[in-house]
Amino acid sequence: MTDAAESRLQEIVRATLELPPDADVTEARQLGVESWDSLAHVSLMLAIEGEFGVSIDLADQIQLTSYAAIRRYLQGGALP
Amino acid sequence: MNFLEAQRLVSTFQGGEPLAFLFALSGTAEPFALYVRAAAARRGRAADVRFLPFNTLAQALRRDADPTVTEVFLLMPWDFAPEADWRSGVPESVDQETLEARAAETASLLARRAQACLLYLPAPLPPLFPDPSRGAAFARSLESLALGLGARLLPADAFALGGYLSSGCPVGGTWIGRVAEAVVDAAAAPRAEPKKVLVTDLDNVLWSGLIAEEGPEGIAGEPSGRGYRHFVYQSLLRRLRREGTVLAAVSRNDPDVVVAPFRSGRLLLREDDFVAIIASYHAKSAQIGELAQRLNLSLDSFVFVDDNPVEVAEVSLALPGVRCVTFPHHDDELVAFLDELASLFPHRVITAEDRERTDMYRRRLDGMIANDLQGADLTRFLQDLKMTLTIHDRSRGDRTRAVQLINKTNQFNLNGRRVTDEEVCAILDGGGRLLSATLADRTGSHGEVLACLVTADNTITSFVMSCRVFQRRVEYAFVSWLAAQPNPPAGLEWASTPRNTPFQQFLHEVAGPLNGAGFVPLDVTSVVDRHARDVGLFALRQA
Repeated sequence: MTDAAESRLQEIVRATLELPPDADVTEARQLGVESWDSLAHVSLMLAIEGEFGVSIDLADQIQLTSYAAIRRYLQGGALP
Repeated sequence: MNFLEAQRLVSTFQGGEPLAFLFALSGTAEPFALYVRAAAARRGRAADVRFLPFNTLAQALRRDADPTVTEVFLLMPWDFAPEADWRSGVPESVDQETLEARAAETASLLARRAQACLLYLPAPLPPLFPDPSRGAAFARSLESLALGLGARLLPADAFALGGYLSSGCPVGGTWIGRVAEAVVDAAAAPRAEPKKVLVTDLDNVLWSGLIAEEGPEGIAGEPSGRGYRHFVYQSLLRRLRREGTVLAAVSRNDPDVVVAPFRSGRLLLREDDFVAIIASYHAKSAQIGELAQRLNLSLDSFVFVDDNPVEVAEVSLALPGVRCVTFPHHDDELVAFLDELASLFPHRVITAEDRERTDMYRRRLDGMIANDLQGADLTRFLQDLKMTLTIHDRSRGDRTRAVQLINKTNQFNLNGRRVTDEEVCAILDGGGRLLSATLADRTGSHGEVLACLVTADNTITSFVMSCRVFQRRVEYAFVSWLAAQPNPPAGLEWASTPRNTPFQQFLHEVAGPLNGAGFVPLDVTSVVDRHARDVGLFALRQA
């Protein structure tokens, strides 16, 4: 993933989860971020689809519950 | 518009005119919020959007619409046929008739919300029927239902099954920004209230030809030949009337003349299809204004159709609220004209009251009395026409058209007297003059439109003008020019006829009150003075 793409991903995660602009999201996990509820997750998935031009299957959406998993998914890597 | 762009648009938006609306879809609408606000911000509007709770669209449709709230519906196939909802899986079996009945019921509920903006996303359907072709046909029928309601069709690709199954949001991330733009466009589109009254001209609009000149047998409004396009127009009016549009007619004619075609049975429309058939020589704007007042309807609800650009301009200037539509002069403009007209009277539902509306309003009118009504000042419009009036001396050479004009004109005719070529020849041989005038403007030539026969003793014995050029002040400019010539006319041999009210009005203006038939003297100095402004409307030439 390029630096620019990673920067966009971080910006999306911060915005959809309503985190401060300087928040480090690289370690963010759904269980650890209070604002990462089901509705925020839908918004996050839609934002990623739109921003990166992908269509995320339902089964994958359920597993993309951390920044790391999302990053790995966008790099074409295996999901946990 | 993707997420980050939407985010930036919203965060940098300084505020603008509020755009309040209800965004209704049966799925989850919340993910649209950011994109809708961004799309509105892009248009300088501050979206104040309300959503329906998930899966409550069917209930909402059964409640009456709040007329103060703008509603935008994003409809999916399963809003018409709930069995086709992917979230319920593929049904074990379906009854097509039941599906179609439900779809029709939903369509009728939507049709009642005349002010709602509809978007339809033709998402693929689960395989509902054993025969796939029936499924495809059913999908098409739902699309047709939506289109029939005036829905805007969105691309089927906007549907994302994964997202819909997981969250209930039917639109995927790659499309949500574009769908939000369509939603905002629909919400922000001006709400044009359907018009209520269509006022139509008659000659060369409802039928082909001039009734006062050619008589009921000379006009054509049947489905053949030159009348065909007018027949098609009549058929649209008939449909609009049935749907509740109030029809009225205005014509520069005598009342008994214009009703004859309706009574002949040759037209598709009958006299009682109209709330009023107003035939007079007063300004059409004044007649329409009077009609609106008597019907107690706002002028904004009126549409006026005429083939004559001068009449259209007169009504437009005097009554800016009235929507004026020009009847086309060419067949290839007819489709667009009929489309435009039909679109001004949209009806999603036709009620019994709609069908009775004309009768109801006719009862309200107990006859229109023609008053001395004034129209708009057309000076500016006429100046813009860049008219050229060319005077021809037909005393020598070919006078066929001038003599023909004298013998076929009824309305603007000094005395209705018909003349043979031999009689004209005798007057000319005795020192008389035959003058005619051709008119041209920026739209082209109107041909030879006026003829005037003056005897050797300077009496005008024939003076006619084509009704095609009424309201352009041609007759005033001509008589003023004539009055300024050496040997100006001393007067006119006036006689009233059943048809020549327009000439009577003209003569009253140029020569003062009339006192029966006979010689009417002309005060040439006064004519020249009073009608200099009319002469100024034309580039006046002598051939």
